[in-house]
Amino acid sequence: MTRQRTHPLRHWTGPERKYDLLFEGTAAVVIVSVLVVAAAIIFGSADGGLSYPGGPPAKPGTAFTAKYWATSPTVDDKGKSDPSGGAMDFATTVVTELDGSSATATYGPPFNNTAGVSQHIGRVSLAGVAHSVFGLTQPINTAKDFVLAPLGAVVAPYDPAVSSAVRQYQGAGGSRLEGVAADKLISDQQAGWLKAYTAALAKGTADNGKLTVAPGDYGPVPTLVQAELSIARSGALDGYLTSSSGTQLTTNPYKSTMFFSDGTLWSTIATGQGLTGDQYGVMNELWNYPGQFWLILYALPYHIPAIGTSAAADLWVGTLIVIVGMLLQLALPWIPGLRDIPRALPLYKIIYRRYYRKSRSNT
Amino acid sequence: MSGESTVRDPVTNTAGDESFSWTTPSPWVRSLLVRNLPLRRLLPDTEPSYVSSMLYTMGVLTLASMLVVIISGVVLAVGGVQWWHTSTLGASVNSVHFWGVQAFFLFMAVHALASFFTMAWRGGRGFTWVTGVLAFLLSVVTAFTGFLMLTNWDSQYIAQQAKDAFNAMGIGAVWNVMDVGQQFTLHVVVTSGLLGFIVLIHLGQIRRRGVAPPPGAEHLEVAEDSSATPVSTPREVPEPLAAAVRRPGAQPPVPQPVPDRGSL
Repeated sequence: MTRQRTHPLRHWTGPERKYDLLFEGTAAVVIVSVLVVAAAIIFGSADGGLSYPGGPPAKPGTAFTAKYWATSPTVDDKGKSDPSGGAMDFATTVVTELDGSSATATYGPPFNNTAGVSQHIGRVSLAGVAHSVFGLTQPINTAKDFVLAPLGAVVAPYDPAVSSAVRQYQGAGGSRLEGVAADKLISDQQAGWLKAYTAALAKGTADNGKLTVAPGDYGPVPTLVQAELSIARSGALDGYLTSSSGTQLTTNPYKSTMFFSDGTLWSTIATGQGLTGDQYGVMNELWNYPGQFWLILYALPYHIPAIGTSAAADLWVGTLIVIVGMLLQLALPWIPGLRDIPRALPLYKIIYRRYYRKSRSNT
Repeated sequence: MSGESTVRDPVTNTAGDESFSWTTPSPWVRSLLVRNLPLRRLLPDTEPSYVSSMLYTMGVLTLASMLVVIISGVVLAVGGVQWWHTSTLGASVNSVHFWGVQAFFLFMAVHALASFFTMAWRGGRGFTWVTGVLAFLLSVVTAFTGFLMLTNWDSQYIAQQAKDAFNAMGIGAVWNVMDVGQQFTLHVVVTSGLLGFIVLIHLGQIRRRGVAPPPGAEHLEVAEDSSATPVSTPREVPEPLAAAVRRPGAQPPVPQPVPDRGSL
């Protein structure tokens, strides 16, 4: 039986020079350490907070919270400040969580069973495949998790009116199952209350955290939304959202993140800081500091009109990243044409110019 | 197994040609290491003269940056996820970690471009290129998970935005980018560990195969030992140990021109 060693050790028989790897490695560590520490001293690093052009001052390093949201003023397009803008945005969002029209409620897997919304190319939906295999791994019932459960846990035990409102609302129907589809979230009666209240809230006010709307048949909805706004402004809602099921501390704040991102203030801050997709936000995440510039391959495809405007933009970009950013790179040495680019664009002649010059002079 | 006539190295107790055995695999592993990663390759005294270019320092600078990032990262991990928000020392270590990462990617990008334009995969070095690309991809994932555990608005927004791509690709069902705890363990243990492992293999490949010679000079790279030719049973291999421990230049091998196949 014979065996052929495909790639035996090879030895360079051309000109050599003295070299010590340990010396080179040590020198590199010293040089890089000096450079990095100097950069750290001179430039520091970002601790991104919530301040944005035109917005209220905010400490560095803060996170978006319900309290910040419900107490923050907002600024309109003309630069006019609205002291109750955050409270009104919060209240409006709470209503969309109850009626199932929020972005979270209509997202689909892995948060809920809302059908036909997962991104797909042709008939291929990887989110759908994952849903079939793993089920709903991060289930959310927006009405229960964001509104009814916190009110029931934080306010209802001490406030009979809110307790009664929660009971009345739940008694009117709607599903409180985790991950239920958006269209199962409310009953017809609840839909009637919420629709009327949504219209009224659009013309209402939220001075100092007190919601005022025109009289109407809203059922228990005004009591629920007012109570939710009050615990948000006091910080109690954050305490509820950042705890877990009541038995463990949480390191997984996905529910609160999804809730916060349903509001308008979330994207207002992001736009103000230049973080959105059309602002190359993925590479611009740390204010004036360099962000993840190496993600340019990921950011660029979103700016191709056919992809950026597609309903399946993320799936297209993800697929491109797998094909171009991973497979093509890995297999590049074996792909004719691609591997020959350096011969067509012979930069190696510059890199090895001294070697070639010396070789020619020797011969 | 090697026969009686085989010369064994007294330090490693291997002839460099042991066969694999399920019950006693250690001799085979020793043989593999001695044959492929001899110390003269791991800690060489010379290098080809064409390597004397700034571009060839990008690899070691990337590695040095990685070391800075690992050390500062360990300090940050010991301090706790939120330490850097509340402590001046923590903020300073975070700054070192941050700029270390920037330097790491900058050096790695130049290293990758130089490797591409010098066609560093030539001469059986395709797997070296593959491990380099894998290291780059794992670095991106490691940096990404680091950005997701900042516990401030930045990480909140990045996670909320990134979830769409992850969910669209079906990955989001198991990799919840909004789960800070999951990102912490992925960053500190899983992706960093995998990256370290791949980088070790990458380095081993580079030490074993060396750097690809300039195009047109491939013939100056010759097989170093007799195992380049087909061998039958280990008993018939002439002096495998002598070949394994032969110092470069001490006994010049018979030059065997390597044809320039254009790529591999």
